[in-house]
Amino acid sequence: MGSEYITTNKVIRYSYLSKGIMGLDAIPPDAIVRPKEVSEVQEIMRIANDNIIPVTPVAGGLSGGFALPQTEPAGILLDLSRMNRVVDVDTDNRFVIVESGVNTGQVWAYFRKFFPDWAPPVPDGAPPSATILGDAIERGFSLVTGAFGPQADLIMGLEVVLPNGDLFRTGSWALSEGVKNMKPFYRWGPGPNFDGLFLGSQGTMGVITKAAIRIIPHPNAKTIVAYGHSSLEAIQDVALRIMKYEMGIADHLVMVQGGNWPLVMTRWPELKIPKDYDFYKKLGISEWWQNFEIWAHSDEELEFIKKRIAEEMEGYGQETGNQPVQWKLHPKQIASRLKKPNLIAIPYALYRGGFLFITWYTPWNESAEMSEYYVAKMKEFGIPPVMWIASIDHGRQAIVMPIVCFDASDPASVENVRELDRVTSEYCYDRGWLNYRPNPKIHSPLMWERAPTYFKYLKAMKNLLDPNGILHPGRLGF
Amino acid sequence: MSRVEKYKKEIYRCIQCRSCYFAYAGEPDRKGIGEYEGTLYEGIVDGCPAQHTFEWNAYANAGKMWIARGVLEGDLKLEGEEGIQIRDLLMPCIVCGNCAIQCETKIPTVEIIEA
Repeated sequence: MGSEYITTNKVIRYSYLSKGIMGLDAIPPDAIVRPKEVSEVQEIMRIANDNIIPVTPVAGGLSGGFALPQTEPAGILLDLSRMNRVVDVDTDNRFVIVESGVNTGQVWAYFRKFFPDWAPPVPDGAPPSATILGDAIERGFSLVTGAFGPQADLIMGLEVVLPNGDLFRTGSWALSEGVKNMKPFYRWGPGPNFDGLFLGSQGTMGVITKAAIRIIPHPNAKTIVAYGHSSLEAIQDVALRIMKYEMGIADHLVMVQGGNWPLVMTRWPELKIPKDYDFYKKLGISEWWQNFEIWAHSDEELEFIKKRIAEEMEGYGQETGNQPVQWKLHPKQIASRLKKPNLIAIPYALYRGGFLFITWYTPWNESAEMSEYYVAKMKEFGIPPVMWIASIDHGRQAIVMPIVCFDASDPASVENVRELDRVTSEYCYDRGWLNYRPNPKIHSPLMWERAPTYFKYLKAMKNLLDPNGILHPGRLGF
Repeated sequence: MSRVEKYKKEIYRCIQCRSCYFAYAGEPDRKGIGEYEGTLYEGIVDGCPAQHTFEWNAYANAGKMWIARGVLEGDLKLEGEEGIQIRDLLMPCIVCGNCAIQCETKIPTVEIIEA
């Protein structure tokens, strides 16, 4: 592989640290190794397994602390960013095969140039250095999640290296060991499919070196419509009314999101921005608002969808007495929001000097309740009540994401965030809501307490795939 | 050390989004010119000369902010072997300031690197 791609340099090791975005806990790795080929990953894994050296695989590594070692000895950070080839694009079977390190900027650019009628489902809000594979295997959010479900639903096949160096593929792709040019055309493959063991496993079950991911038509007719509401319940209910159509109108709503006015305030330094809602009201910002990103194959189709949304808003207003107010968006606002990849999720560190997404998945029709609970708790903890929600798969589930702004340079502020997380998590798990990336210290114990049999078999499967427990130890809370 | 300490609040703002790797156009989406070698799309190109050349995260601004954090927290020393390692990682930076422009959290990167 070449020694130039391996380092134990202490300063370089510290440069990979991160505490924020998704997790507050991380320790620097003992070594960083950057393979280019799958065969190199296999060899590294064999050596690590034989010597019982922990390995934490990362693709983009942008998930804050949780993409880094959690326990000592920290072992190897397996940085897969050099594995950055777009291996294949099949527009008939509609998938792209990427290596782990292909970032969203790169894959978006690749499609713009070579396949402009197709879009890779890149995450929305994540910077161009995030990887498309990382977002998919972590069941993340993308520019089409509203209509196509969480990113993991778009997986067609995975290529996985196990700690003993074995390599296999999932779905129909499994037959590629014996069939030349085997396509990942059928996710469920030869029978019981293993891919669920790796999706959301955060590098604890195997090293994923390639993924086949569905691609989406990229039409030219796109727009954003936005509405202001008096409550979050209104956002939830009117969106559900629209998304329950499932076909037609709802299939065109690739992203359906909502939030509150502090989402605007906290994109600026706390000391330089008014904190009174009246200021934002004068700017035309509703207390609660939602936007729909619409993709269509023609302007006529686009206009039809916009008209149907307006009709449903009107109908909701007449039935409830709470008439949603349509925002007039400047063309530049629409164009900026349609831009992918974008950096929308980044600036929240400006407000106090750090932020954490404590992301929960709930049924969509419980998203208002969850948000109202969390807003009250954030106020109680002296944290600005910033709330963002998004629909997954036609309003079946919601991502409810409190954006917790804190001062990363102040240990008391960091501890306040931990305490907020502890206090709220017990309640959320009792309600049956699931944390997106469970914190091994706070969320995992609460989660496994409520799913003991599932936990028993999960540990058994982990033991089968990784008997020496070298892959990202501690990350799943065991 | 005191010069770095002055920028403590700003240093802690880095969340490792690594936007500083790129020259990223905030302009609305559009088709790329894409004819330069290695350039697919003018919306996003590699923008950090040091990181592009040496590849390790330590050469990009994001890595430097976390090295600075290590120094401020006493985990890394500016003297001795570690001091030499830090110097060697800092020197390839040409202080072009691209990272300051790209940084969505407005970290004064050049001032911090020079400190």
